Amino acid sequence: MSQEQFWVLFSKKLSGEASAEELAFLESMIQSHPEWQYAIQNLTDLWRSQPAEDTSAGEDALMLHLHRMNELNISLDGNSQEIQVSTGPVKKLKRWYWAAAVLLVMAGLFSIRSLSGSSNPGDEVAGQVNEISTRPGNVIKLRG
Amino acid sequence: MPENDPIKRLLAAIAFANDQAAYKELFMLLHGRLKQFAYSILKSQEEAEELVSDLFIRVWEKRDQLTSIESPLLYFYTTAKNLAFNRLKQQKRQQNASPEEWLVQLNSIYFDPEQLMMTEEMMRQIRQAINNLPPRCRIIFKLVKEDGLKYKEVAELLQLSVKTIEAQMAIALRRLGKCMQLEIKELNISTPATKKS
Repeated sequence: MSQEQFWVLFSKKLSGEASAEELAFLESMIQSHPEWQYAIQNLTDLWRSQPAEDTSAGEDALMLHLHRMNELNISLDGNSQEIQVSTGPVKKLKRWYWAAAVLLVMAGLFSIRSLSGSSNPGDEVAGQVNEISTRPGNVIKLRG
Repeated sequence: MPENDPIKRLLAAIAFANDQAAYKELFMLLHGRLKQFAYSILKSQEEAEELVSDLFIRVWEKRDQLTSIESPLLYFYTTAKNLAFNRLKQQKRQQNASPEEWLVQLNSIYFDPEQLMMTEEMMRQIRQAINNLPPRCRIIFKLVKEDGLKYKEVAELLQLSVKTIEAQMAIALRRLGKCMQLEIKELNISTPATKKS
């Protein structure tokens, strides 16, 4: 076996890629070379050692990411591309619609009444007596 | 180190239950690694951050399709690579696309004095050996050791053969072994038939 093959097998062992047969072969070889033990153990420990992860950077990034999704109107509720509008202003808007509609109806009624009033001006002067002078001395009395 | 099975479980929770907590957990699990990977290609922290955000928006939008993926880790890294390459293309920086040009940060060589029985000189040599790894060897070592990708996944991601990954990993470990005076001479032992990947 070449030294390259040893390192291929050893790196496969560390990364969990070695077969059972390869592992058994490697172990028997390492055991037959006690002078390797120290280095092999240190390499194995070095491979396994991991620095503690700093989660604060990830938390900041997550906050920015969620803010960005919100800006793009992507909702995490599963309703993508839905524009979020709070219910408060909608209710107020509805009230204004109703008020405007009532005013319009009232204005409409008023104008109909006014129009109908102008077509029968006699209503306002009902009961009044009008006089028309035709020539001096002749007076015609009109009753509405 | 992230593994495929927990990621699959999180993806299933996101897809079938719109689970926001699972989505946030997945982001926290992969954000740092994917950002470093994207940074190695783009060489810009800001762009790498935006790329990871783009990737996770895609995850949410395509969540229904992601549950059938055999290797989610490979999917995340491949998507990050493709998004980074698209950005380089838009910026007419394609010359940075080759792995030899990537700026790889190795941060898992961590010396715990309670665990490792090493001299200061040995630690210095190991740091130097890591820093002097050839670029391709460095990225492969990082993807296997820190990011938890399998040889086959690294080969697919970098479009190399599995044998190349094996050889590059052997180079990295041999250099580290040298720092510990571990020199393997030619041995008169026949090797077992290595499994074909």
